[in-house]
Amino acid sequence: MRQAENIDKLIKKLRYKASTETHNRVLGNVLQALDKFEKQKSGVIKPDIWRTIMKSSITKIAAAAVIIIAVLIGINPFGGTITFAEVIEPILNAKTVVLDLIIGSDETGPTVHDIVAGSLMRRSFSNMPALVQIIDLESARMLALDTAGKTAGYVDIQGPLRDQTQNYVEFLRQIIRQVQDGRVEEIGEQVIDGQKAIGFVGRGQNEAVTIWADPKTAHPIRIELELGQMSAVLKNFEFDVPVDEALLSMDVPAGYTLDETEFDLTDATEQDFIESLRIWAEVMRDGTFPDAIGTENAMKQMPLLGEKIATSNLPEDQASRLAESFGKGMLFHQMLDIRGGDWHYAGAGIKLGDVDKAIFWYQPQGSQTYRVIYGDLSVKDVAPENLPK
Amino acid sequence: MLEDRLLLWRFKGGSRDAFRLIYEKYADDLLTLAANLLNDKAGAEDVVQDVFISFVQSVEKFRLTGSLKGYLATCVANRSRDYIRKNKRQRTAALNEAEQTTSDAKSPVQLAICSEELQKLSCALTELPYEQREVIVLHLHGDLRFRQIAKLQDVSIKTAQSRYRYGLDKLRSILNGEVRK
Repeated sequence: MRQAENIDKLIKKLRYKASTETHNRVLGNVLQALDKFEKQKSGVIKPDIWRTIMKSSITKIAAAAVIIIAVLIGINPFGGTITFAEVIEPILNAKTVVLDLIIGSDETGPTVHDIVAGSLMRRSFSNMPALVQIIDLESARMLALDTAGKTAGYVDIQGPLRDQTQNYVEFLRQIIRQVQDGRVEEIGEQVIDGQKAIGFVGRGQNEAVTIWADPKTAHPIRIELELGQMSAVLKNFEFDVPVDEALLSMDVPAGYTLDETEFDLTDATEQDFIESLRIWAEVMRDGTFPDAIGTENAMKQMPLLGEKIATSNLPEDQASRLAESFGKGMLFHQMLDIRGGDWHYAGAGIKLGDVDKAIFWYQPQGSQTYRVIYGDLSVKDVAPENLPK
Repeated sequence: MLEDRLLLWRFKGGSRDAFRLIYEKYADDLLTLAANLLNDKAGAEDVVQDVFISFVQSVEKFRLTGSLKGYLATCVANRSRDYIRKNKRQRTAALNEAEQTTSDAKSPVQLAICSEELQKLSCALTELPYEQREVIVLHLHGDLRFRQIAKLQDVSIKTAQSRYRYGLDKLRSILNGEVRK
């Protein structure tokens, strides 16, 4: 019998194709179980606790930057940079790594300069030269320094965020392995930053990672990340450069004052996001909504927000609240973007208070309708077919 | 593989869409696997549903070390064994029913099979000792390597390979009419 000789091929044809109804039922039951599980879990798990302890005028804005950058550490591919040396050590055998992280494009995005040694990292910002962050992933702690005002503050990163950071380290490690194993798509050779480089790309539903490496040594030259509508570039890698341990010390440097102000970042809500839009228009833009929002733009605007806070003569607690609200609002948006949420910003040029113009809309997870935010910052639930054109 | 890791990462971040994509990507393969292991449509759906429920409930602590399909296929194999143990009586009845309905082409796997030879093959598969059937189905439908199957069955790789070979030989014999029921 001929088919018996190719029996393995025949067995592969023994397919069970379930009906749409079956799939709907099974998937529905699984999602229902997931809902139930998450409800039970939310009753017992405490939310993340983030506290920044800082007081001087510049550290208020540092706090807002801390919020945004800390989120990147926890959830985004940028987080891997903290332990980048560790991640690629099997390949590169590097004990220290120095690199630049650019949020947005090379030409316009602010540059974050990282010095990484094991689980310790020192981070500085091109658009906020007075701000330095020293992060210890092992203890999930961050020391923020205002080098101009000589003040310092600690930030604790606890709870699920810490786990996600560790997960992401593993994620990056796997990407590097896959590049080595050739299990991602090769996109050929190009001259990247003046060097001949071979490119590999891995694409997901809402993410893409492109790694450009030296074709001879496989050392990374440039890593490009796209996540939701956000992009970032890691480049200018230096491996095994001597690093002064003092630069990575988590102790408050001599001559610095440790100030204390608490920031509650337990939860970032739609209301925080609306408040951040109000701050952006009212405090930073003289009543007009910005041309674009998102992490890159928020980072670019941080110095301006700091300047506005410094010149506002707001009482201490209100100034702190303002920075906190802006950071939380951007956190809400970043989470929406990272999770692949459907969102659209249309506020460019619209005046705060314009009741007729929609400036932002998004679809909350599991919702059939969209939340539409208008120029007067009111919110309505709108069916997809009735969304602004 | 990388896509799976990105989907997992998104799902861990709270994306239901990411889970839906994982489900859509693997549900049919897993149902095929379970149906061929159990020869029981309702049982296959129960097993696959249980595997996905267990997966979503443990995803926070989940660390993927190999392929996601391989992991899920192993879960289906384990659940199928549990199902058989717990439903031995029912399964016996189901198998009897399957045997009875062979000629009518109504067994669950056969519902999707048009050709007569595949119907015969499906029926023949149920006649194999479970260990042999499991190796064949996991290798050909679950894309598991013999090393992984051997670990699952707690036997040596050689034993797993022998079970595969003996199983295929027996299927050939059945299809060639050399072995009678």
